[in-house]
Formats: sequence, C-alpha cells, structure tokens
Amino acid sequence: MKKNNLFIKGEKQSEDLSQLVLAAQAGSKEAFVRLFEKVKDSLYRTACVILENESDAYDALQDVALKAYKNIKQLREPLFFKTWVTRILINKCCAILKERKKVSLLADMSVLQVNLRENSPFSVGVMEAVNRLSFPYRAVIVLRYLEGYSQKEIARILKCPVGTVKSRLNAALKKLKADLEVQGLWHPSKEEEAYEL
Amino acid sequence: MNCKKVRQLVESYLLGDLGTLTREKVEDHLKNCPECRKVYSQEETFLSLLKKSLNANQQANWPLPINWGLVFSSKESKRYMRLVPSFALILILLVGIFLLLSPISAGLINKINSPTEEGSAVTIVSRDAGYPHNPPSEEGLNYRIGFY
Ligand SMILES: [Zn+2]
Repeated sequence: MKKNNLFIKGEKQSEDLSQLVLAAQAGSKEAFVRLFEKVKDSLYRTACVILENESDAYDALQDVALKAYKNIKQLREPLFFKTWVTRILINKCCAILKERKKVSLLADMSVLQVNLRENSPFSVGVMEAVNRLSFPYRAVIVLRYLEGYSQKEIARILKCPVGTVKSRLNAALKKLKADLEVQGLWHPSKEEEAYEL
Repeated sequence: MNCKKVRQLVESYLLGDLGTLTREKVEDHLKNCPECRKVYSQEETFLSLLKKSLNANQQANWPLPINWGLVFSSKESKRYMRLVPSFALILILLVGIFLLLSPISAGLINKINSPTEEGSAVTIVSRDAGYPHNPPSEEGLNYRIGFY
C-alpha cells in the first residue's frame, strides 16, 4: 500500500506527540515541558482573546501548565492532548471571568487591555464585538476562527454535543454580524436575512 | 439538497469540515443556485475577515516563559503535604508511649503529685543561705554541730 508524503508526515508528527504524552505520563518532566511548549502559544492566544488581558492570560497559562502536569495521567487518549489541555484552559478562563464579575460589581474597572495595534477599523470593530459576546459564544468563536478547531473538536473541548456547538456558532456569528452592522462595518445581503442559518 | 440545508452547511464547507460526499452535494447546489452563491460568497468574506481580525490582534503577542520550577515543585510539595498528617499522628503516639513507659516520666508524675516535699527543700536552702545574718535556729545549730 502506498501512502502520500503528506499523510506519512502527519502520522509521524502525531506519533511524536503520543510518545511525548506517554513519557510525560510515565513521569518525565522533560517530556512534559516539550509537550506543553508545543501547545503554549495556541493556549495563550485563546486566553488573550477570551480574557481581553495579557497578564490574566499569562496567569491562566501558568495555572493550566500546573493542572495539566498534575493530571496528565488522567488523559486516556494521547492524541487528544491538545483538546484536553484546551479544555483545562477554557475552564480556567471561565473561572477568571466569573471572579472578575464579582470584583467589577464592587469597582467598575475596564478590562479591555489587549493592545489594539494599528489595525483596520473592521479588525478593531471585530475585537470589540467579540469582547461584547458572553463567555460561551466568545469561546466557540475563538476556538473555531482563531485556533481552527473542527466542530467535533470543539464539542470535545467543551464536553457538549456537536449540535450545541453548531447552534452556538450560528448564534455567535449572528450576534457578531449584528454588532458590526450597528458599528457600520458590515452590510448583510437580503438573501442571508431570508434564511435562518 | 435544498437551499436551507446548503446554507446550514456553508460554514462547515468553508472551514473544510465536511466529508467528501456532502461537500460535493453542496458544490453541486452552489453551481446551480445563484441565491445560495451570494450567501456563500458573503459568508466567505465575513469569515475570512473575522479570521484575519482575530489573528491581526494576536500577532507579536508571545507569552512569557512558563515558570517550570513552580509547576514541578507544586506537585512535590503536595506529595509531602499528604504525608504530614500521618507523620503528626505517629509523633503523637510515640510521645504518648514514651511518657507512659519511661521512668523519668514516672518521676515527673511523682513530683507533680507531691509539691510539699519540693517546697520544704527550698525553705531549708534559703534558711541555710541566710544563716550568717540571722540568729541560728535550733535546727541550724544541730546541723553545724553535726558537721564538726
Ligand atoms: Zn440554493
């Protein structure tokens, strides 16, 4: 049987990952560090958008490293390491946002601290609209369009049915479009309005 | 495949989430339905702008290095912490057994039970020490006579 190069490469990469997971589960600190370094940037990006704050995102990342190291033996399928560790991150972000809600009731603090660099008005508008979404919607948008997870993977991360992911994505996109329309940055076509996605 | 179904699948189609069979069905419909094509192209524009925007705001944001010392020490200290209660229990038991069995503890218990003996010993010492300035008592005289 012949396999094309792309497939073999992908298989080899996932094999490396599985081996690292197995080594880390057997107690190798070095393997765990290498494993975590592979997913660190993706986790940080996700946390930055969900938490709108780089220092909170770093705190979340540090905490996720700790929790993942402590619980690595509970991971059954080594190939699911990234979704597993992303789930830990999403839960941590959720906890941070809840804590922040409690605090912001006492002191009304602005949390929008992610640097909005010299970006296009649309790009800035999108970030503002994403920041206005509630946590479940924000999470699916970030996982899907920043990190490129499939609906199935998001379902695994959030521990919910794929149908729920679908409907949340649709609702989140609808909210984003409506927000951007109010900002004058998006103009929907008539065709799209006629059909509910 | 009808228009409604196709529009539900546009997002998955654009992100490459569909199996070959469904993908081909969507493509067939899009070829023949200008309305769905409009929806498709608008969705494509929106999603690519969304992706670009999310990524644009993230470029050059790299996290600080992870504090691995903290990660690894937390697990080890936890392991020690789990042993602390059993260590404490063993220590309490050992001290208890020692107090009950040792002769020193028996002596201690005796002393605690008879404080008068201790008190009289102290008075004798103080009486002796005060002797040169005070007239000697009978007991003191007897003591000196006995000594010579
Ligand atoms: Zn159609």
